[in-house]
Amino acid sequence: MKQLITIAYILLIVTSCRREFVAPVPNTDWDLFNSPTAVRLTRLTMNKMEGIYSFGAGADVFGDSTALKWSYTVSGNDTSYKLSMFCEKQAAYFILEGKRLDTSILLNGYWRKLVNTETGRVRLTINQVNGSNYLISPSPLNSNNKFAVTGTFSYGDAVPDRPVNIQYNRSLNRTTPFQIIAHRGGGRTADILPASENSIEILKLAPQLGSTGVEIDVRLTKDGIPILYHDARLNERLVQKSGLLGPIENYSYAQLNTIVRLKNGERIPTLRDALITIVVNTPLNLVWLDIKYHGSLQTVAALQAEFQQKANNMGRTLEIMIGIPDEEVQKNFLALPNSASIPSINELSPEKVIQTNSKVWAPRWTLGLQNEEVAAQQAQGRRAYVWTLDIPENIQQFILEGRFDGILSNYPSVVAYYHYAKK
Amino acid sequence: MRIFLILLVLFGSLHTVAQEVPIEGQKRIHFPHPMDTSWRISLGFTATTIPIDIAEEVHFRVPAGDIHAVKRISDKWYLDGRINFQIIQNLITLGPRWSTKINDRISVALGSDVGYWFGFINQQNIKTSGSGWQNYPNISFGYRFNKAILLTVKAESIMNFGIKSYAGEMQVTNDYRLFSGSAYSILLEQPFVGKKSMTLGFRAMYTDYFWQTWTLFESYDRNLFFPQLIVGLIL
Repeated sequence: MKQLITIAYILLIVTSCRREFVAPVPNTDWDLFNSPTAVRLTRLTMNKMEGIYSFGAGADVFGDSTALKWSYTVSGNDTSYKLSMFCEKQAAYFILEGKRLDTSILLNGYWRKLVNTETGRVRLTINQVNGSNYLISPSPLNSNNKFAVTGTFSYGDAVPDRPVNIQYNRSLNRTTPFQIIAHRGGGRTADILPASENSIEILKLAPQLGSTGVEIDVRLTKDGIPILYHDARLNERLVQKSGLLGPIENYSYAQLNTIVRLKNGERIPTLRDALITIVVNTPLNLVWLDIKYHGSLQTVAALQAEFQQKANNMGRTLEIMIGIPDEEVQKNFLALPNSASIPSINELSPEKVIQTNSKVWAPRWTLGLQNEEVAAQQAQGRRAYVWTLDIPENIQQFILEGRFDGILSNYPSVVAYYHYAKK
Repeated sequence: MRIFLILLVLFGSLHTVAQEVPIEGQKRIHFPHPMDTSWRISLGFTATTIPIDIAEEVHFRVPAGDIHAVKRISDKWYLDGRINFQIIQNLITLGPRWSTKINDRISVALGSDVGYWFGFINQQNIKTSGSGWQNYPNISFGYRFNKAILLTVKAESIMNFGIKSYAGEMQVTNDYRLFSGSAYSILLEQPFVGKKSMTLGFRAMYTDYFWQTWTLFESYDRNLFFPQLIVGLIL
């Protein structure tokens, strides 16, 4: 019997190990890219590079086409630009930096597929033969200007050696204003992004993932500080082991700030810190405050007003809206002074939207396209955003057949691809 | 997991009262030694823990009723059928099993169980439904201990065909995953109260799609870990 128990225990240990998934950002060192003669690209060159491209080599890994779009983050006096490639297949995206070296444009960075853990390095070049002169010249592009991007990619940290090339097809779809709203500040912790959900770091990453706006989850600490955190409790899904467990509202902000770290090591941010980051460091133009607690909304509303004013003063196009996910939050929202003038997003029925005078109606996606209901909202001067769409086929359907003004998704890169590629 | 370990130890300790009996007299359903009766039926339950990647803060264990029947067709050929039921979502599998004994202690079986799962649930006033076909090619090795304990180690490939789910009229999922993952089981069978036998098992599934999660409309393409406890009473 001892034998039996021993065998069973060994087999149990072998088979019961939960696999930890990791997708670390690869090392992107490239001597040529870092050479002292390589210079930053001009805004004009960057703008001309944006568009829809078709894959030649690499289509089997990334799909047939991709949307290229620049975004930026601000850090002090420095603005850093990143070129994102949003792909058709398996929520794949590239995040690249660009430089000019003599007559060539170099693009260096990494790619990732969000549905799994595949990632790797990528090095791309646009040389004179492939039309770099059209992009570098101060003249605008015309329809005769053809250019292509060639290079190599790899899996993991290996030196890129697999061919990839893309050919410019057409400009991005920008016909109607459309919000690409990233769930939980940019994406879920479970998707193994380089930053945890609802962290300062994910907010800075969100534009590179395709977001024009973010939804962030707001809770209150024991001492009434609004913080970003999704779940009701401190748990192994969101935070590293710290010894603190149980409902998050049982802890003061000082306790959380001192002891608790999110999965990727970040601190749990206050709503104030998150709004500073969004206003100062990112080009994001929508903040959806998903209220996860039942209680007074006064502190949150005060922060909303303060940072809306700050953004206005900076000339930033930004809307900060309080989300109303249930009847209890609606009751607390209506208890605010002048609630009808406070920008809000109501997830309840169209009738409730009128009660709260919300700017946006946000139904769940499983209710379907609801084109008539959406049109009715738009006729009242409101917008309609749908949540939370993650399956690429559904995202495509809602973009091609629906009338929504925005989509909330854990995969903003997929929404970005289908939106910008829409003809 | 802790509960399983406790049960395993308790179950193992039963050997002190178990009598050594020849294999022909032992009731079994997973153990791959050729059967000496025309039918064998087991009633029990499975409990599967849904990983936090998709269950998020509701880290729950899903129990399901489990009816398992094996029909002897010839000395080495059997028909293996199983129903996993939770009323709102159910799985039926049926497939051939070929069993043979290597020697008095060791036996082996090969099988391929074709499954069909289906479910219906009203989620926030939206009628959602799902269904899909599966196949589980499998191989089992059995080792008979001298105290009426039967140990089966089983490996399965998990194949998912035609996963379909709907929210109202809208199709949410239409997927096909030929090699979804694999599962590895340890199953112990031994005499229990009366003339019954009991199965206690642990199944580790590593799969990118588990049928009981169809309502979550998850989007991952990763082989997540689904631990499953298997308990059965062999009649």
